[in-house]
Amino acid sequence: MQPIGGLTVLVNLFIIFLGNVKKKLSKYISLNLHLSLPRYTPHVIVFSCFALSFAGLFFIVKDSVYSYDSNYYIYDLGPPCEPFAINLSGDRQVILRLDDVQAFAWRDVSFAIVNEATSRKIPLVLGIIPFRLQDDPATTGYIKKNVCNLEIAQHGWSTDKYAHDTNETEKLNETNIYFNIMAGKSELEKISSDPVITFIPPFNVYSSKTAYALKSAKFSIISSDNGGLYDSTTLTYDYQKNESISTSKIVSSCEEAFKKSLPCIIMIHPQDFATNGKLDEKKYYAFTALLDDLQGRNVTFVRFKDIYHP
Amino acid sequence: MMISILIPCHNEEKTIKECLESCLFQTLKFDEIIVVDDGSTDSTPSILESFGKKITVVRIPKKTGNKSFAQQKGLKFVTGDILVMTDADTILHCNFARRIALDFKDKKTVAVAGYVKSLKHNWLTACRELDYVIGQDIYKTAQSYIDAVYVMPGCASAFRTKVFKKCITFDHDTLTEDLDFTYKLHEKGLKIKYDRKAIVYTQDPATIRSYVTQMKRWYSGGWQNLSKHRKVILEKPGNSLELSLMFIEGFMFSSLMFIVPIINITLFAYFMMLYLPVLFAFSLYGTVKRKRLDLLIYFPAYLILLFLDAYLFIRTFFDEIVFKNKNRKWTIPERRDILCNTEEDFH
Repeated sequence: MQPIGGLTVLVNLFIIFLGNVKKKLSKYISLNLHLSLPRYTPHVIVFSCFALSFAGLFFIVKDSVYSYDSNYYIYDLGPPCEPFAINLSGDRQVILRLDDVQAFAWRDVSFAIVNEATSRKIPLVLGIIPFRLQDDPATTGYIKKNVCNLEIAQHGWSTDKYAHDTNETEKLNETNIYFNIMAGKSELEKISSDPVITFIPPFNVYSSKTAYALKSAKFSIISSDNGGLYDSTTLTYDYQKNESISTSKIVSSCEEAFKKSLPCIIMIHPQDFATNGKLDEKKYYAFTALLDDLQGRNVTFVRFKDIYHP
Repeated sequence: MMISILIPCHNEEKTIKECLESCLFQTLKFDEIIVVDDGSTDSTPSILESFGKKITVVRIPKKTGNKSFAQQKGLKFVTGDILVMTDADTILHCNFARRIALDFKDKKTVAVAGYVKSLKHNWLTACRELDYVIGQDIYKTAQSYIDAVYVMPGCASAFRTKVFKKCITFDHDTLTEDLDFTYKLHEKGLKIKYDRKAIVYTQDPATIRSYVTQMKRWYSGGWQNLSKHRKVILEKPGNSLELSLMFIEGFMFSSLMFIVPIINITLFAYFMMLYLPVLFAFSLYGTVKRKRLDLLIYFPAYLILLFLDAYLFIRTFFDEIVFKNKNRKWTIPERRDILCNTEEDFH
């Protein structure tokens, strides 16, 4: 028998169904029905089925090879990226670290956050997961377009998978970790205007082996929870309580950091402002309110690379 | 109504005895059992002799090299009104002849396609049985509703002898003579009945090598006949529907099996994840229907064969249709002893 796809099975099951209905009906009423097909019906059916299949296939292949992505072209329009002036003299510095920027997931939310920040002339650090990034020209195109006001940071161990496991690199030796990280780095450097020197460990956790590999991979800045060069001060969502952290709490954490002459690093995730993968206006309002509050407090927004002096 | 059965054989010492016994122990006796010994060099002749006058043996001293040559020789000796054709590796269900006789009571019926079951042996035969379940319980049942039975199996088919002799010629130009016969009947607009109760048990390849050989022959024969009888596609709506679906989908699906993993492996993985439960459902149906647990156990192996089938289907397309390298070489199938552990199925 020919390799079994699905269409033939479905059509044949339908014919069997019709045949059985005909049989059942003819038991009760005298029907002189013949399950015969008008001459050109099959050609029309087959042609329609295959036209539909080809159309479906076209869209699948189109999506798969990403030769065209409407989003890409939309974001590609407009003026080129113009860097805005960053005030480095202030001592109340805030770094907005947007983690989990990645191919496909929460794309609109990430873009909205970047748009919001850009419109307010606030630079951002994007912690980008390199997994399948090359498959999503909408995301890479958008980042490239805005990259002059962004800092690209690597937020994943490799290009092969998401960082599912905090101890993901534990099973590997330094060399393997190095090669995995380098694969991710080279993907990110395709969209970054500068060499990527910032690494944000997934789940903010990393081992001494990873630290060694990161050094070999020429990452100068590590931003984690504890032990990195620039560790996060606060975040916008409490994942244990599953609720947003209020603006006042975030601001007070920042004020404490300022007292210690440290920059305030606010960890943001697109999923903090999303419901079912889509932008949640209500949650997003908290983000704009936070920016309003911070901007009213005489803070300066910077990126890691702006304040890092080797 | 006299019923004759014609069995061509070549070196069938492992299976011919069981085959003939199943022909003899029918609830309605065959009036004539004709065995064409196509130059066997093993103990087949002596086994045939042991049946004495119960069978008629036609000897061809030097093998003809093709089943249809042997059938053509044997046909001259057929005197029955009904001609049953089967293979030497096949065992007939004890009611097979009775079912055939019943089917031919309808005067319009010119030919009957029987129902083939695969003899249990290993994972390959389990996969083949699954193939038979889908092919016969879905494809062929639907085809019979629209008078478009694709193929009358070579091991389970019956014809009105007069019509056969008048309408069917042995052309020896394809590798699947049964398919050639079926197309010829369709071209003449003659009625083929599909009887799911006319059951035979056949021996299917148990090694990858013999499986590949058989599939190559079947697919080559399929393309050869499609090309030879392309008129049917344009003239017979039912056949047109079935053939277009089977061949176009078969070709598209086979090509995609190799193209999609290259384009997008994730998409292919999703497809396979979708395909597997459907296959599982079919194997569950087959397991219940056939009372064969091996269909369920080995169903994941069907995916491996799917790749193999896809490759062979495309390859034979290029060989037969594109490059016109007409393959006429008949390969002798591997045979193994028929185990009687499924005897309760036969009777």
